[in-house]
Amino acid sequence: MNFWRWLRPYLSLLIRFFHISFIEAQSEHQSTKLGILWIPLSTLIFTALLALVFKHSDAVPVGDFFVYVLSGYILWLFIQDSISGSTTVIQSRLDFAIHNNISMLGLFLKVLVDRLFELGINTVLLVVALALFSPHSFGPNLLLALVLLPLISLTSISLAYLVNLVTIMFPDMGAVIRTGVRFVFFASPVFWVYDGVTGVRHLLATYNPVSYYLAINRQVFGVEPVMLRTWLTAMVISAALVAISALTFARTKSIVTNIK
Amino acid sequence: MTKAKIELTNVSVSYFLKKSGNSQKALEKGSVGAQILVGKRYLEVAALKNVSLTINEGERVGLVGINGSGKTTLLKLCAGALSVQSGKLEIVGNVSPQFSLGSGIKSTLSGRQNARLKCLYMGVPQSRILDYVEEVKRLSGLGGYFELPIQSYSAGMKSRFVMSLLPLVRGEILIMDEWINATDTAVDSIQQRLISKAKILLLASHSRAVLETWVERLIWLDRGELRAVGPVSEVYDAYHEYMLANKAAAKK
Repeated sequence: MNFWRWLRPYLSLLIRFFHISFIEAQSEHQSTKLGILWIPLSTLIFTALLALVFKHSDAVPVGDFFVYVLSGYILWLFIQDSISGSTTVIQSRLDFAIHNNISMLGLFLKVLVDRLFELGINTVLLVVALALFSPHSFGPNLLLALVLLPLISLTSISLAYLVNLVTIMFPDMGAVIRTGVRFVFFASPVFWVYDGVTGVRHLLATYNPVSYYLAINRQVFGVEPVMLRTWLTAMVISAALVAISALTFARTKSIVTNIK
Repeated sequence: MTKAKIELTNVSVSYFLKKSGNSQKALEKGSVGAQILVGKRYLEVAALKNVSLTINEGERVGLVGINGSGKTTLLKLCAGALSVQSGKLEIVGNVSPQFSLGSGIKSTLSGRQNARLKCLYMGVPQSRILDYVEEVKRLSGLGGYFELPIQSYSAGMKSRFVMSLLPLVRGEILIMDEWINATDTAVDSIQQRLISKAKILLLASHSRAVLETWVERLIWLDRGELRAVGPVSEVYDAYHEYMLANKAAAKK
């Protein structure tokens, strides 16, 4: 009972933020006929193109490869937004947030909810694709979403603060980060398969942290078999990022808003 | 129940700007603005220096000073948009900042969409949002314009719209930068209600009439430091004299 009383205001805030994200997403697409449907539609179109162009083996059915790419791409969009979309959060949105009773930390939470909202819509698309092309994938592994969601949320908000801080301290880094993220897209197994690869791709699959997050997302939806080592690696990376971000936040919160 | 309070103890606040071009030129002293210090990587604008101040529940306090004297910095600090570099800041109570027309609204969205968003941000229960939005529409008197993007509004229409949103404001501490003139009596009464509802009012203005109407105590800031604190007429007279003396000195 006490726990529920403690939790309720946070849940209420979260629901309110999701509602705001929905209205904001709706208004962003208000001049189009399909409106908010453009979010999954653009994901669908780009994934279809990737799946058709980069299908590497005739042994793998198109449907299976499409689901593989889609399950990686939707999480990639979330990661990309966590990095590229965070370069100007404080500089461009804090004033708006303050006028709406949201603190700096609340602002980062709100921006995270925006990303989760988009991920949620794209996940619906993935579920539909799985039901069509790979219905056997659904299983108890879906319960791992309960671990995945907090894990990627914490990682995303930590990464967002660090990226924003770096860009405030070194404004040139904004362009560098955005360009770097484009490179990481190609260096991550979004549309290429890492099973059995050697050379550079093997190195990328092993040392690129993004690989582990894409893999655990795929494992939740049964696109890949569940591997404990992948989860543990992702958790260690997240824990390190959260720790660094928390320490950095504690040390910089008194100056970050005053840098113009 | 804890009482609303703003307490600053030896607070100093600086802005930091990346150095570019000839930084030495930034050291030139002007007739307005706070002192600029040239650091290794940043220019430091010392916007507030060792300010100590207590505002208790029930107080209506005004801020006066020339441009760049630190009024906005003090307001932004209390609103949480800036942080202190040294000293201690204690705020008890919810703060509602009203810095300028258009802050906190999205110009690409319609009046209706903005009103709906404002309700959600301010924590209005879902079941009452529709009623609130209709109330904002009625108060604003914008008619069909309520459905159009804010960017298509004239300055007067925007002012009416922003004022109509004010009943949604639920802050115990009301912070206002400059006074937004009321456009009609209906909107004027909203302002009055908002101010009377607030437990603390902190208002920056250059207008003697506005300050005498709304505040009892006046703080005069000069180059980031407290120059005087006291009753409005007393402090404003001193400020006015200082301004006249400054003008006369500039003419010589």
